[in-house]
Amino acid sequence: MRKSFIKLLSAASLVLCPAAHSFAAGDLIPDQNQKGKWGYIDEAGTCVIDYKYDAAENFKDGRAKVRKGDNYGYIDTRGEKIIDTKYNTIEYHSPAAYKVSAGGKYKDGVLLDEKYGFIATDGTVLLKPEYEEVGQFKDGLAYVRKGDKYGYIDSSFNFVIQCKYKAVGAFNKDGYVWVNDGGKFEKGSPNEVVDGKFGIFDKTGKVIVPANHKMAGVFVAYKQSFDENRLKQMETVERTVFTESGSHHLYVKRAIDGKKFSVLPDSVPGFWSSKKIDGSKNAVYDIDGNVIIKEGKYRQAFFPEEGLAMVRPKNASEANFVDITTGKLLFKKSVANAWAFYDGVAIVTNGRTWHFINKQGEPVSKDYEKIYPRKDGVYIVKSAEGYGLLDKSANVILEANNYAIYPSSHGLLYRKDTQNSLAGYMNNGAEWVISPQFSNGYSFKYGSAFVKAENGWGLIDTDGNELVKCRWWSLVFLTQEGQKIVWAQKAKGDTYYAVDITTDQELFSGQYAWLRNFGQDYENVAIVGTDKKHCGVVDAAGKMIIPMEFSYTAAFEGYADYIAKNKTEWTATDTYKLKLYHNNERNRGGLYEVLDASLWDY
Amino acid sequence: MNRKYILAIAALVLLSSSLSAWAQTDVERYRRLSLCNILIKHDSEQFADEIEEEFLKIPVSDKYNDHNLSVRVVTVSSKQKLKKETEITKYIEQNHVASRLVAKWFNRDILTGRCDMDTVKARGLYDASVFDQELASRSARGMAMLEDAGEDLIGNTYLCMHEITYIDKNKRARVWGAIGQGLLAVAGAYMGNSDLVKTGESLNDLISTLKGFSVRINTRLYRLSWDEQTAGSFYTQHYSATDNPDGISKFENERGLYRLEYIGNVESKGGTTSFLGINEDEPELMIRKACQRAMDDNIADLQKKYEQFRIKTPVVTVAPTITAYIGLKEGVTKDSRYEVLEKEDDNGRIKYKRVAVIKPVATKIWDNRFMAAEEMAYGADFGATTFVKESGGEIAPGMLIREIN
Repeated sequence: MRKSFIKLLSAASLVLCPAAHSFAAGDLIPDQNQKGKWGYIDEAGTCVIDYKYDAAENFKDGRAKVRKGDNYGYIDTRGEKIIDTKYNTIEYHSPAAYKVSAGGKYKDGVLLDEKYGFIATDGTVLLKPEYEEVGQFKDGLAYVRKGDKYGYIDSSFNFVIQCKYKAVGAFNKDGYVWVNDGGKFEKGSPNEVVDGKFGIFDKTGKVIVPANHKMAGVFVAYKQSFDENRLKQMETVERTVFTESGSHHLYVKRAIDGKKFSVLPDSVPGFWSSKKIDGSKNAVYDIDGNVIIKEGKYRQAFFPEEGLAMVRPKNASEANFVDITTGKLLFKKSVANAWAFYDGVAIVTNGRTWHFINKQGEPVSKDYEKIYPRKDGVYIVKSAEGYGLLDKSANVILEANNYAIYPSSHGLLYRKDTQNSLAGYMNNGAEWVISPQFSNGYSFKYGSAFVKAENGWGLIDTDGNELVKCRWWSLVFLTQEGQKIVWAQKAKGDTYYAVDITTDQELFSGQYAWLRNFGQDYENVAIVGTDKKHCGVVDAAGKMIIPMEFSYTAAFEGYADYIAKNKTEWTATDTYKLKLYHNNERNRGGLYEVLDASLWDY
Repeated sequence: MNRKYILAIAALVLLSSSLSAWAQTDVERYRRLSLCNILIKHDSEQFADEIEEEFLKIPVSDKYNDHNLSVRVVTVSSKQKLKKETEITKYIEQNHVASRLVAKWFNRDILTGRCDMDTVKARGLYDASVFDQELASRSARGMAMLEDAGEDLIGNTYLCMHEITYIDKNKRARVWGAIGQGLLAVAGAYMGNSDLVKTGESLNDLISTLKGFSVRINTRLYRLSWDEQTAGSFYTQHYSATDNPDGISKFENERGLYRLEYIGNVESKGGTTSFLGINEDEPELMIRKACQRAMDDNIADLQKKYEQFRIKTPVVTVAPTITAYIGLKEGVTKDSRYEVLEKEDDNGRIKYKRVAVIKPVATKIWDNRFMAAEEMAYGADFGATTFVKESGGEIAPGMLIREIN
């Protein structure tokens, strides 16, 4: 009896342990018995928690993760369960929560079809694990997906946006996100939703634009586009003013692109929506989602500035302003085009002339042939007599009778009174900063400006100091900030000189007919050539690193290879190979031919 | 020739000092086979030029070292497919392709005759300075490294001759003809060559009438012969660490010493590649997709057929799952099996020992074929294929896997 009792006890000890009392975590060690089951023993080797787990981790902060079958849970140091072993995975999410998955099955060793959720550290379910996807939390928000529907939860696992949208964007830095209800994904575009209805939420879950519109979006700054053909027809001065002025002040519509998790672009604090697929007859909302302009009232409505919004009442070739407080239009008869109010004035045009108006719709300037976009607080205007300058309130600073005024750059405007007078640079108040002494010049760029004096072209800084003395027939425009060498010629067709801008020293010269600036393609070298088919690479000392025997593309690629291989010398073999790799004759040989040896690289 | 003598002579050569930085991640640093691809172009066939243009853009797979030569295309005027490999073998022999592959291994300068071991060291993952020292001292380890480089690297250089032809389905002959016009029109517009522009349907019309574009590729596989005798000849007679004008004509006259051995061929089934994922403004991608997929299929089939051509690729992760960067492109199927190899350095010689066998999880095979992501193929976003262990011991990241029958 005693023997069998001892045997029984011995057998039992393989599984059971004496009743456990609370241990400090450091005292308990995971241990595996002969049957492969895990439990915990103390430092003396005494079993404290029964061998009943398939895996057991170390205790930390009074709890240990254990596995039974395929499921995980947590126990305390007495072996009591804290979290039931019923989750496929349990991962740390925060000091107060775990991210868990459940409902999955292992197939060939891989967990499939699991669903995700969150539980508190005591096992309380915070978000039921029924989501196929849970995104990363960012600024306290994460998307979730259930089936094919998306929503957003906050860090308390409450739904900020219900999980019912076909597609969602990601929150932008202002805390707004778009959603799409009922749309679809076309074959070949799995990440771009089309059709359905768009809307916009803020990060608190407040509806800004209800998700019942065919189109919705934000307002972004208008950007002028340049038509090459139109530019070619302009005279030099007009082309310069046009291209350097930038864009008029107006915020135009930008639609949600429908790409999953795309971010609404940086914009002004306002939104629009339309029930039409082309975005016409749009409504306008403020950042709180209040309707400023009702849908359907105007063919197009732009973002209001200073209480007035530019609108196109019926078609694209008319413009007016609506007072968003009263809802009244400014003009009885619309004009051809208009731009937004800016510091109390707006630019309007009837198609032939341009002028400024105030908020009452009254003209506050003369008519001009053209008013250019405001830059650095001033407007350049053009009349038949020439160019002038107005301040931000449309007051005249300079009458429009100058031969040329170029838009502000580096705080300076190039100005030439008449065609035969001298040019200089003035500030926004029309005060000379660099006195008129040049016959020609360009706007400042990269900290310097090309100017022409009696003896030729040179380069000056913003204080008017000569960086490169005016002695050249031509200079090649700079192409990047910090450029140290400029190409110059003494006469047409002459050799090109490399001139150091910091010292005004001529470094070397070469008979090039085609060239790129130093640093334009690679640092400290320039690609040059006798023409575009005979190019090489020269360094700042004038040394030809790669001879002028290659096309521009080949020279470009050859130099890339040269620096990638840390070469210090270009050899005849390098020339041989570079020419060979850009000679398609090597691929013209026939199967029954013995190719010329010169077509092989090895 | 006595092996030790050969290697001793080889060790006398002056080895290059510095080696260019080998900028690869840990997973990418493993020995690969070296591969040279050449297109056999039937220039009187439809779309021959377009196929050539796209073929030239297809890079050597990252599972191989790029061992391409300057000549990438060889032309055949006849519309007849090449029946036997003998014509190709003759081209290879007449043009001394084998000697050129060898020369590339040693960076042989075609103008000066100078050679170096930089490529051998880089692809063999040798520590450059250790390699130099061991060879200079003619140590047993140095000899073994040289033998190892020969067997495991240079001897594992392959040439694939791809004979690619466009498949014209008779029943859609009318449409195909129109496609020819349309494609040329689009290609012409794309390449700015107005001579090619003709009136015809827009690509949209073509896409709506076409189901895809088919090519047939017959790929013949050759292997560079590199035995003791060949190695000995090269090191003693043709390797020169300095400029060697006298040696140039010697090598030129003795190029015939180096040979490529014909292994075999596979021919693709000519499956249709769909337009899925092709943008309207890049119609030439359709041709590239068809060519690249068929080429990859052939290379995968050659690997299945010829054990010596099988690539080894590293295990990337072992926990929570075993993964490797191979997939459909390399011919992985649910029935594939792979041995896991542990590398051992036997005093300079690299040996591989099987430690386990794994097989892919059927639903977790990565679709890494060209443009799989654009066509939304299942598995295109996996990033790697997941495996399970079938037998064997511990597997660690970095061990190599190779397909077994």
